[in-house]
Amino acid sequence: MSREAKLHDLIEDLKPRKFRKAGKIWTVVLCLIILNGLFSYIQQLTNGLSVTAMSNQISWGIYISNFVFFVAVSLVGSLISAILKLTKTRWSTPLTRIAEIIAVAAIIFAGLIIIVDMGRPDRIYNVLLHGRLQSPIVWDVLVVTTYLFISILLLYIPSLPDFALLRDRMKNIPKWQHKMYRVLSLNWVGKPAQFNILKRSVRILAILIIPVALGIHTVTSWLFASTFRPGWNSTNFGPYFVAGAFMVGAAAVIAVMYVARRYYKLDKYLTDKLFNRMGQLLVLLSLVYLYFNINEYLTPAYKMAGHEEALLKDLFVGDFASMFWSVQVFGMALPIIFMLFKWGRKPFPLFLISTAVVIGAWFKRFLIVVPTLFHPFVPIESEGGMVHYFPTWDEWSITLASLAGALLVMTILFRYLPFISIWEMAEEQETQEQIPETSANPKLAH
Amino acid sequence: MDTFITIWQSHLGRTLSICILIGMMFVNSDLTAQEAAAKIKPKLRLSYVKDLGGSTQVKASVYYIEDGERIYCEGAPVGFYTDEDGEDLFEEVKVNDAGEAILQLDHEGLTAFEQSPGHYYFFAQIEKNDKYKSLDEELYVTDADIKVNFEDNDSLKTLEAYFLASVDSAGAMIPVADVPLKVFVKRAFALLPVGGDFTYTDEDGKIMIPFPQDIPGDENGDLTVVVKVDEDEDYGTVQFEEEVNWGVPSLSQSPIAERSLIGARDNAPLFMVVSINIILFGIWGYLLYLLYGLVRIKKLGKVS
Repeated sequence: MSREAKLHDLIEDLKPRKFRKAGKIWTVVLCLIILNGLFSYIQQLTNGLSVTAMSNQISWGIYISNFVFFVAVSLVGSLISAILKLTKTRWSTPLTRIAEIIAVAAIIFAGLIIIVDMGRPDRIYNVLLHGRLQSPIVWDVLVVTTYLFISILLLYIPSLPDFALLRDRMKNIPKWQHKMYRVLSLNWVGKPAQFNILKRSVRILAILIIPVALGIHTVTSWLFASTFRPGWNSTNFGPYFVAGAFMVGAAAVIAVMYVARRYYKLDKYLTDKLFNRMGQLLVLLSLVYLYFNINEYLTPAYKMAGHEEALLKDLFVGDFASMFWSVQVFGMALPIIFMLFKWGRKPFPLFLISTAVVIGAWFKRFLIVVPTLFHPFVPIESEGGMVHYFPTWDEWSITLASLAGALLVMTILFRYLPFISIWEMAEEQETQEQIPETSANPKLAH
Repeated sequence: MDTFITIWQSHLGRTLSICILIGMMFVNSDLTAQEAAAKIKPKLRLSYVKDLGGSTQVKASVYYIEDGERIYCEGAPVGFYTDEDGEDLFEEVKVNDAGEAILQLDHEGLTAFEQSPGHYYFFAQIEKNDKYKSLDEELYVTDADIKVNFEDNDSLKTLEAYFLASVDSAGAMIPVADVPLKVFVKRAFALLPVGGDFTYTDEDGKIMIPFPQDIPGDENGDLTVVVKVDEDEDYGTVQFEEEVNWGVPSLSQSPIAERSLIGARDNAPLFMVVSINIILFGIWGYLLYLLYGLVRIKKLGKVS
């Protein structure tokens, strides 16, 4: 088959496609969830944070645990795009676009959910005007903003050749879509000088994103670890959060991979072998996270000292026991066990396992944030006796809206960008067949 | 049968009447109990506070006890009268959220309550209303004064305070013995007692205490000295206050003012400022360079 024919096949397989019925229904459902969340947010803006179940004692709830979850998921961008790319792990090539889109969507909503948690979002400028450099919150703002920018660049820059291909080859698309590709492609014609800039930029971005990604989740963990509260006052938190983030990020990629493979018939590219490899990667990351989990709970449990004792009792046998053990079993132990077997790394089982890991990760972040607040380091007089926290309807609808929003961003990006990088796949094929570079060659482009 | 009916009827009638009467008693007592429960009998305490150099106040503390807790009667109207019959109302003041109705008096106002020169009579009353039962309280006060001399001889600081009151009928101020006159230094949140707990005026109405040399003052070494009689049954509370340069000058070494982790915004540790700025400018500088790379990509395409 000629180079042009192969490229044509790639484009036909991977080009963005219109939604079918399922895609439209999916989009409408997401929009409805978001609208409902917006309505609840208006209630919150009008009536203040009293619409939530948060209080003086339980001052952080599902908004913050949702924030930590989003930051965790966003780390996948650095894992797949950067680490695997720099180590020339070629089998991960089909995953880079998926990973970067997940990262961008997740980090956008990480930033937004923090603003939602503020009772007075109009005062966010105070963080810039009056923020103290000593504050972990200011570090978090800086690092989240930096990571967002890097993730957007790492999504956009490698997409330039694909935008050019779509600009030149996609027919029967609306004029505005064609114009969008034309603008986004930045006059890309595939000149060697352009490729040099692109490859150098991507390489440096891949190197740069690793410390920033490690930084974002370490700094997020310091929001907790820099306090004296039981359950948070731990030197283990930085690597614990990073390990958890890699795990949930990998699981998120697998879940999206499966949906893309089923919906867009991408079996040729998102092969069983790829799922197997991602499953192996997920097992490894899960085992590392399991190690940090054991460290995090076993050490204070061995001592059962002071405030830690009450918190651990709450988690192990108390009010949060059912959630805690469900997360450990269904979100970690069983997935690890199942993935150790080859059948557990087949596409559909792996999709189910990954979904369980992602859901477990969300509840894990809840268990990190909320139970500690029931055991304050400095005693607080709670109003009206027993302290409770169960999120209100408004909190749930806003949180679900943020999750729906992230999914909507991913959906829109997948609608207009190829799921898999066409030019990188073409290069990959050529490398394997030792054919000279053809991607976005000016002679072939027209 | 007729007899039985008659008897039954008469019994019935009596029984019914008795039942109705008993029922009315309970109903009435219920109403009465409700009425009684609705009206609270508060406690009313009067106190007199004279701040020499400031104002004079008469405070009416109004509260009741419920389940062992003191509940303030916020909003209750307290009438202050100049006569004991409660007819000559001077002013009505509402109880505040601290449970006090405070009557502020200037010299002219105080005169209205003067029974005889230097002797005042205050009568406060809460009239019966929907919420509270009526209550009144009276207070007799003798006018008093405090004079203070600060003596600094060869770095030995001595404070002399005289307590004078209008003891005689002409209202002239004369020294009074055996009055517990206390000396304090004003601190940020409380009064620091100075000179011992039991300082009573002698036959000249005087106390004399050596003033400590080591009390920190402000940055100039100024202190506010307070001399007072507290809640005396004859004189109320009389307070004298004066600023004197008898403290040790203290330069505030606030940790917030130094470069530290807990410092103010402009006082972040130097290593932190340097390292964070290097990282931020380094990373963002390169990101801006990447954006420039995109511009170059676009230009290269245009040339082509």
